[in-house]
Amino acid sequence: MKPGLFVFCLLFSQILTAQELYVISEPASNIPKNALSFRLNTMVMPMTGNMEGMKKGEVGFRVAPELTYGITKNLMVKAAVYASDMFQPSFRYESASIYTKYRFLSQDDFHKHFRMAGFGKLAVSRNPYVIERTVLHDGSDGTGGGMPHEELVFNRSDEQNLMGNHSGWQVGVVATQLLNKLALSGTVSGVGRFNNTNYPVLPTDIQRALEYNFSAGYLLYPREYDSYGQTNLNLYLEWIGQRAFGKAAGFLDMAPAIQFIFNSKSRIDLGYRFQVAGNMRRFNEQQLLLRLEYNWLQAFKRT
Amino acid sequence: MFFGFILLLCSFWGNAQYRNLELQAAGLTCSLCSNAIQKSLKSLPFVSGVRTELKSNLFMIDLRPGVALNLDMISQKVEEAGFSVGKLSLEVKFDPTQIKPDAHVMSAGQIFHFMDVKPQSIAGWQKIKLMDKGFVLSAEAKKNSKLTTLNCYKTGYTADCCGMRDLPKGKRVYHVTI
Repeated sequence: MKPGLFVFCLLFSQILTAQELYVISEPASNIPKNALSFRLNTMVMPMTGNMEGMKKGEVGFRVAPELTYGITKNLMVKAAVYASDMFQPSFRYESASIYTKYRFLSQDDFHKHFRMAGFGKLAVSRNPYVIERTVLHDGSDGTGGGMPHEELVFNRSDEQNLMGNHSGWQVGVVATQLLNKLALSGTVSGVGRFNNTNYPVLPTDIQRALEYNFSAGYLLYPREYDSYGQTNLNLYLEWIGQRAFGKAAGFLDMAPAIQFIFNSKSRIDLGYRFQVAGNMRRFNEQQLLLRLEYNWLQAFKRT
Repeated sequence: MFFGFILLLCSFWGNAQYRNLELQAAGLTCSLCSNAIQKSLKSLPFVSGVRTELKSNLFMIDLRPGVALNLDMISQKVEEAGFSVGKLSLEVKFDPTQIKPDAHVMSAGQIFHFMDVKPQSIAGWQKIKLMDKGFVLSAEAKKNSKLTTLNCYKTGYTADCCGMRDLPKGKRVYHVTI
C-alpha cells in the first residue's frame, strides 16, 4: 500500500481545495456549537463468502439513524441505533451507541488548520456472537450415524465492530491537517468488546484491536464558491485498518466515496468500503454505504 | 453583582459610533463551514444581517441600530462555529484624539490601545484593525505581543501598568492599529 499512498498524496497535493467531512472516519474538527445533525446510514453488506453455510450472494442490510449535537465549540456527542437482518432472517433493532469527541488543539490560518481531538465510543449490542447457518452433511465422515444430516454451524468474527455487531468501547485520537490544497486526517484508537447483552460469556475470539484510519478529501465542485446554494461535490478516499492485540490477525480496507452537499446544510454520501488485505475473520469484507444527512445550525435557543 | 453588571454594560460599545464591521474567518474552506459562521453570527442580538464573500471567507456584518456592540462576542461566535477570526476591522467615530504607539486613548466610549502607528491626531470616522488574540491569527498575536511591554495585551483588561491616570481598572481594552 505504501507506494500507492505516496502517489495518492502527490496527486492530492495538485488539487485545489480539500474537504474533511469524511464518510467513514471523523475529522478532528467538531460540529458547531448548538448544531444538530441527523443522519440516516443505510448499509448493504455482502456476507463474507467463505463462511460456512453461507449461500453465494447473501447480503446483510443495516440501517443506522444518528443524531449529533455540538455541546460546546470543542465537545460534541453522537448517538446512534442500529438495526439489521445479519444475525437472523428478520430485520430488527440490534445495537445502540454513544460517541463523544473533544477537540483539544486548534491552529487556524486562512484556508488552513491543524486540529487534534480525543474521542470515545460505547456500544451496546444484543446480537449473538455468531452467525448461524445450517449445512447439509452427507455423513461420509461418520458423523450423524453415517447418514446425510443437517448440522448447525457457527460463524465467528474477530473484527471489533461497534457499528451494530458487538458491545464494546473505543478510545482514540485524531489529527487533521487542512491545507489550501490538501486535507489529510489520521486516527489511532484502541477498540475492544464487552459481553453482548443476552450473551453473558464472551467468546474466545479476539477481543481487542488497534484501529488506524487515514482519510483524504477533495472538493471537485464548485471550483470557486459564490453562494451557499451551490451544490458541492466532494471525493474521498479512506483507509481503515485493524490489528488484533496479541494475535497475528488484521485487515486493511479502502473506501472511496462521493459526497454531495446541498444548500450548505444537507448531504448525501455514497461510499464503497472493501478489504484490500487481511487475515481476520469478518462477517463482511465489503460494504456499500448510502448516507443522508441534514444539519440544523443554531438548533436551539441558547446563548 | 451589581458592580459586575455595570462593568459588563461599560464593556459594550456605545451606539452609532461604529460601522462597516468586516471579518475574515480562518480555518475553513467549505461553504457548510461558512454557513455555520454566518448562522452563529446572526444569532447575536446586535447583528441585523451578515453578507458573505465566500471565496475569501469575508463576513460583512450589519449592525442593528440601538443595540450595543460587543466585539468579544463576535470572536466567541466564530469560535463556536468551529473556526476563528483571522482579521477584524471596523470604522469608529473618534472624538478628536492624539494617538501614538503603545498608548491608550478613550474615545467613542471605549478604551483603545494603539499599536504600530505613527503619532498623529485623528477625528471622525476612522477604520481600525483589531490586534488582540481572538481577532488575529495566533501567529500574528504572538508577533503583536512583542509590540508592547504592557500587560494589558495578554489580559485584555486595563491595570495599573496602563499608564493613564484616570483610566478605570479592569476595563476591556482593545488593541488596535490603523
